[in-house]
Amino acid sequence: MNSFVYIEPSEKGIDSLTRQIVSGIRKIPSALRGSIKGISIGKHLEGKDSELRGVFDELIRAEIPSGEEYNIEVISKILEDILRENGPALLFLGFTHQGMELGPAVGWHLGIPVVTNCVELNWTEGKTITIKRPIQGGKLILSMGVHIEHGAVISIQKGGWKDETEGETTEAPIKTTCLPWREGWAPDKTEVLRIIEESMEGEEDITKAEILVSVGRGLREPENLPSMKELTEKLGGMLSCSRPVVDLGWLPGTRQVGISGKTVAPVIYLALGISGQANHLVGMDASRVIIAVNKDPLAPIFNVAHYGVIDDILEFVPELLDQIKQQQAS
Amino acid sequence: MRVAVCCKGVPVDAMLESVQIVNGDIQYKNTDFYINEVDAYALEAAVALKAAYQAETIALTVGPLRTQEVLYIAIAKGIDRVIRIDGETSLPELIAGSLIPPLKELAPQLVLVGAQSEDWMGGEVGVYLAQALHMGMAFAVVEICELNETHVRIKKEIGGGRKAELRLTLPAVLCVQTGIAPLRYLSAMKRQKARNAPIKSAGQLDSEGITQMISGMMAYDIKEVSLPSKEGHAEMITGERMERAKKVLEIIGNVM
Repeated sequence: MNSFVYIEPSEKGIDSLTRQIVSGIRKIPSALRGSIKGISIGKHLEGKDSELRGVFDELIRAEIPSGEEYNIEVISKILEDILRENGPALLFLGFTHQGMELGPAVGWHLGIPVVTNCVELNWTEGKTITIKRPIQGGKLILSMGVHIEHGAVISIQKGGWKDETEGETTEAPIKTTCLPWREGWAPDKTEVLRIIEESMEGEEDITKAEILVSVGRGLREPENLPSMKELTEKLGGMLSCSRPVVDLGWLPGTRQVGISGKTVAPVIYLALGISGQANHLVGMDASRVIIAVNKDPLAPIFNVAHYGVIDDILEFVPELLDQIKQQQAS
Repeated sequence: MRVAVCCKGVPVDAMLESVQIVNGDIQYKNTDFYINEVDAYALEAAVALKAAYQAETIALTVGPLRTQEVLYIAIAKGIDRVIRIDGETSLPELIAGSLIPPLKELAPQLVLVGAQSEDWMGGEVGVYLAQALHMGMAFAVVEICELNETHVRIKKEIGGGRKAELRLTLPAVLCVQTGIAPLRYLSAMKRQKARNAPIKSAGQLDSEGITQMISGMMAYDIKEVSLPSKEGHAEMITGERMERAKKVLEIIGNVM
């Protein structure tokens, strides 16, 4: 059995999720999982061999024409070929936008099981692994037994496993196999026209904040925003939000934290009325201290928060403001 | 131009007690179903295409009779026709497998699917449909910019606040995100009126047949559903509201 890890393009070289995935795979006995081979598509890891050493046992680098790094049709065909030619194998990906699209596509064509959104994996013997994944908005956990005789595709939720690759480096060069471009990988249905960077003109950069006051669906209506803004000002922080607040047009997308928005790591993350869907948590779970206020005691945000308050934010925030005023007055 | 939109009924706030594992599948008892939120956005996007391009719109769902409300919502929002495949499953392979035959028959130019369901939280169904129907695909679509007889131009999220603009050859599957179109309020009268509309049945969910057809993909067993581990759970701040507020400010003060 071979274990492959798809390395998503990232300005940071190897991103933290990829490192988390490799750390998790390394805990599986090597006799079962085989060597860990990274798959890099395009040029994004060129000149970054020192980063790769000690993380992967081997690297497969597939050449593609410039501009196709975000063409899922192309990447999917390449991953399928690599697994077909080196199978049976496990393909690990991040549960990201790319991973959500690639994993099921590759699994369908190869006819192997696809397990998405994995948070725990246990493989100690044989050809069956036990995987845990959230269901019902993270309020319940599903355990599955996955039979991997013919391989499997497994996508991992950020934060599911801890990054333990730091400091693991070696002087030995990483064995790299280059795959030249194949005509069969050319897209026939998808053309990537352009990549659109988010405009930050006139907007605060929430990734720079030391304190983030972040609001979610518990806000209920935009008329309740002023008290959240007042609290943000009093605490000397910046205001951010979860996806529904942007979808409803109450705050701009530049303030969104999560898989579709920004990844933040402030000193204090005060989550107000945010239930804590996985897509939000991946954007803020590295915050130093997370304080969550939610009226639902089962809200998944309490599983990642350091401190929790069960309350309606529309009643708790005015109390916070009163207490701040009293402290300032004394 | 024909646009199909796939919608899912998801259980309302399902607790552990309402979950049961039946024949290797997850089912929910004693709970109501409502439309998966992102599928409601897919419906709105389909209705917008109907208005802009005179598209014929058809909504499909896989679910038991109690999920039929999803299709009434579709009709009330302006979808032309609705189809239900009868049966209960949580497994994305079986949902996709059940939708493939009616979609082949309908031969739509566009299939809209919500990117992810609130209950399974995977995002597989739209991707499986695109592969099985040999269609182009885009995931996390936030805007349908242009549609003609041969192509659709869209914008999709690629993470970190960035987007990609794509042109797809038709037919194509678009897995849409929340926010792609505003959700409109439905009056009780509109909902009630929709209940008179006919709902076409596309037969029964054939779990065994689909499992045999894609046996390699179905090589897994549902073992158990449980509550998340208490490990890592927040330290809860209790007491009167005033005391809790003081404690929160004290924690912030100590850390900063």
